[in-house]
Amino acid sequence: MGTISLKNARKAFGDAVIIPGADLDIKDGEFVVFVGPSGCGKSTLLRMIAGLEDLTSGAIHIDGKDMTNEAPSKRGLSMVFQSYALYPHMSVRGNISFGLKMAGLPKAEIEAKVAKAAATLNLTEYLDRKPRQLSGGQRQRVAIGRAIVRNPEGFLFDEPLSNLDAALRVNMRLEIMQMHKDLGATMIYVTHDQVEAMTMADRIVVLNRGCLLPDLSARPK
Amino acid sequence: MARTVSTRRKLIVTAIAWAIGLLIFFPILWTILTSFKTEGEAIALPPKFLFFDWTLENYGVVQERSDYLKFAMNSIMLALGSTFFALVIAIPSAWAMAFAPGRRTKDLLMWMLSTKMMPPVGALLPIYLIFRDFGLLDTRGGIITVLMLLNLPILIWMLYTYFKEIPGEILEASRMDGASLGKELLYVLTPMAIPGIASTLLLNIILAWNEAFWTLALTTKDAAPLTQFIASYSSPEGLFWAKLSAASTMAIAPILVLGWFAQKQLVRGLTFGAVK
Repeated sequence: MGTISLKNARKAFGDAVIIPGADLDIKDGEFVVFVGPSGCGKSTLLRMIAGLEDLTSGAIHIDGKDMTNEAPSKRGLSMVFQSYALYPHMSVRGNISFGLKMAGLPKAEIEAKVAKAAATLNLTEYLDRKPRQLSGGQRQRVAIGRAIVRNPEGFLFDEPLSNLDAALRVNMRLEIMQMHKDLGATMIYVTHDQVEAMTMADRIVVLNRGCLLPDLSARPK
Repeated sequence: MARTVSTRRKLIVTAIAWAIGLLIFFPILWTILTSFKTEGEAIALPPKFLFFDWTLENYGVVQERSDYLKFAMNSIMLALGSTFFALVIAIPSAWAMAFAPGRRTKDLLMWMLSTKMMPPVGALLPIYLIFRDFGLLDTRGGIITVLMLLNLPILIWMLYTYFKEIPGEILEASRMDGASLGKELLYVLTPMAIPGIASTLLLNIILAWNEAFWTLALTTKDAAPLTQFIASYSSPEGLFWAKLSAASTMAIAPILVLGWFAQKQLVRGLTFGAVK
């Protein structure tokens, strides 16, 4: 199950300390939002959980197992990037199926999973298009499709909606919350938008200069 | 707002561009014309530009004296071989420098470039001795190695510049998707960098084809490329201009044709990243 624990996780580049030491326990199925001003280290913290940044010291346990030194793909987590980070030379189908292909799944199974993900995200008719032929909202869906198709224990969102216009953002926010309800997976969501944080989160973690401020969920909502 | 350019200005600029272009191209044109003259007309004063007796005689003599195809084959093998191995080394190197730079990456790049500033003759003696002792003189493998090393700095620099343009998040996404390092390079980075890799490849083929210093020094017969083919026409008894020109024309023709077809790709490659 998708519990995620940070045990005094620390990140420093030389003398510059980004995260002085974070302690955090995320329950299975919880929707946690990291919020804070730009440069407060919230994205770095997310990337440390993803395995894209090494820890200077401390540990990360996922599902009770020590994953501090595991490769990103071994952690059972999917990530949605701010820039979407789609593979520009692959079709929507190729983008969504890439992770499954890397995992060496049989072709028929990949087909079925891609079809199912595409149907949930209203992407079926765009499967053969390239990312550059899609609108911003559709690209965002492909990025989410790429994340859910691997059926991960947890999702990591790095400011996924900041490139969308206001109307679309509200829509996608609802869709992500619906997705959380349907899948019941753990989600960590990074944003600098407080409204987004308030509306979506089970629990809000506020960061300031790399420090986690006291838990806000203890207060009445 | 677009700047308006007057017709007069356009005409002048076009004329200057053509003049410079012709000036650069003239020696090649003259070589090609001379190759169709007889030896007498080739050295005639004043020189004849177009109105002479066109003859193919020089080409016949050249082919009879030395087997063009054998030299051409070596040139092709050396150009393609050295380019292939250089790319195999340069792509991962440039990847590392662009996406996982260390504290010394900039210094390393400068150091690699600095090797191009040394006069090659400075390294001739040690390399010649190494080649002699390892039996590599006049072998394709040996000369491919030298050409590959020679152009590697340029290749890594060019690829490094292209890779810098690729957003790192896409590679990270592939890592999250479970791609190993090799698969990340093969399925994600390389396809995205195809235009850059193509122009690097073309440039390297041209550089390797034209390389004369090392090919002349390290080959004699078996691995001799077209540079040797041309050089063999300079003799102590004096130059036969028409035959030398014929040999030169045959040597540059393939690369000239390749360059012609690839020029769009090459220009794009060399200015990549300057304009988005």
